[in-house]
Amino acid sequence: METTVFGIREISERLKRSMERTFPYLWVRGEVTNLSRPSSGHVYFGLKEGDALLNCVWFRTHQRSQAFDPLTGEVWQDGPRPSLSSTMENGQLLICAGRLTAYGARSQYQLVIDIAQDGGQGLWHREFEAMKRRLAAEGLFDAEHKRPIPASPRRVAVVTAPTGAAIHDFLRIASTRGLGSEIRIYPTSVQGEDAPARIAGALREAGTGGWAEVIVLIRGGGSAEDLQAFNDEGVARAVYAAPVPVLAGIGHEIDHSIADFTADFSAATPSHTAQLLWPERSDMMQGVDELESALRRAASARIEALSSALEKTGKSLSLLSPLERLRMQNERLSASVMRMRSALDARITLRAGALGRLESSLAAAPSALKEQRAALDTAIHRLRHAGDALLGGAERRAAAAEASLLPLRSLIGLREQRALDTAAARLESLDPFAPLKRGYAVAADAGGSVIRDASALSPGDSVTVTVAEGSFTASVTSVSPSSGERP
Amino acid sequence: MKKNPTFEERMERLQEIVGILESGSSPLEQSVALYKEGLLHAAACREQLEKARHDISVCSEGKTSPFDAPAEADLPDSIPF
Repeated sequence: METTVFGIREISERLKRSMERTFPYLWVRGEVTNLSRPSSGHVYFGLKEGDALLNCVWFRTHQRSQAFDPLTGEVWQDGPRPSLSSTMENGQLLICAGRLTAYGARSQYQLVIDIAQDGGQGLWHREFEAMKRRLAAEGLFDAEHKRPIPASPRRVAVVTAPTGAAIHDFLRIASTRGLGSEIRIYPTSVQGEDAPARIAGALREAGTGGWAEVIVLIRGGGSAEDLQAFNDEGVARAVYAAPVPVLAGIGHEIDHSIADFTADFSAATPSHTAQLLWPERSDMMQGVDELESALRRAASARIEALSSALEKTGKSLSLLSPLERLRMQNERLSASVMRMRSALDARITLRAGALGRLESSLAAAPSALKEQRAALDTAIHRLRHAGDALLGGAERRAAAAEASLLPLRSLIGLREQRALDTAAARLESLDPFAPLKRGYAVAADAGGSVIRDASALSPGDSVTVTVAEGSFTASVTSVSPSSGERP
Repeated sequence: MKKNPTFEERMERLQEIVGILESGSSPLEQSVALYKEGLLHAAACREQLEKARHDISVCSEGKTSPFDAPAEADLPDSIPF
């Protein structure tokens, strides 16, 4: 017998032709599953019956809104309906018409949908919805029962398949996060008929003994069919009964499972659960680095501030020292005394010269003696006043200087003390106010000018009279012009 | 501060120390002591991060055994993430 060896292309072509000849156009009924609506606008899904599956594609160009029932031909009384392609969902029972084609490149065949019609809800879907409503009514999904997931937990129980992609993803993400936690894997199968019971059992085991701070329930992505175990009532109740928070990461793209609804928090994927549990270690390291830099900056700023304060204090301390103040005061006093002395000497020399000249002219001209005598008197008088005025200020400054020096006096050496005493004695001997102490008085008019001629006054004028101790204001009652005689 | 502070406690204390130094109210001796203490905390935190490893085990029927991670090659092809 001759054996035919086909080329791949040839067998693909022949199968395709055979299939399209055998089923030129067909109607099928099945439950929608694995529904996907990519942005292209085409709709991909499977129709299933038990464990048999038929892949379907519904191209955008065939998705028309419908004006009539495609099965009976009845026109919709309430106007055209939107295409079923936009409203259909997993679990829905559909009756579809189309062509069966083979897709040789992938060794697949599929139904290209031309018309689809709702075939009533699938049995499984109806049961599922009823169970969901029952659990919701019991409060299994209520927000008030949700417990917060602990931050950076140190003891984590993971319920999952020990060899799946989920635990691999979880541990890979976890490896760069957290400060080192204990992770205990509670192995279970996650699909198949015994999966719900095993998942519930692992959840219970993970919750016993009070060891875990959080239970992570994870499963890699898959179709809605593959995730059936997580829609099981027993699993939902085990999640709800867990004594510690349950973090679910059941890889879905569209739907959430009952386990997701019941969990305290539902993450998008297994990787996401690890992200939620622990912060990235490199981020923490950066946090440490930043704090340490801040510490160095703050410490050096503090030391800098303290040392500049020390320097400043040192400077002001030397400026404010009593010895320095004493020296400065002493300097000021010496300067004042010197100025006072030279000013007086100059004046006295000047006036003494004038006096000498007057005396000699007095002697040379006896006839004019009387007038000269009067002039002399006036000159002496003026000389006194000039001295008074000149020394008044100087004396006050000296007195003030002395007063401020008084407390320092005890600090001054004996030599300085003697110099000071000598200066004071000398000052005393030159005091222009000495005559006042002997009973003389100086009268000044309202303008402050010293009154030298009584004829300049009238009765009623106000004069200020200065005596040795203070001054007083007096009113002129009568004026006697000069008699040429001194009182 | 207790004897074996946690990472978080150390970070908190470090933050506190920076705050005190920045406020400019600490005298010299205290400033130096705080700075030294802060450096110790930073070093300890860094060491803790560098040494951090998760301890992974499998717990089945009450018994705990070390976990052998499956090699990449053994994993299903269709890792969705």
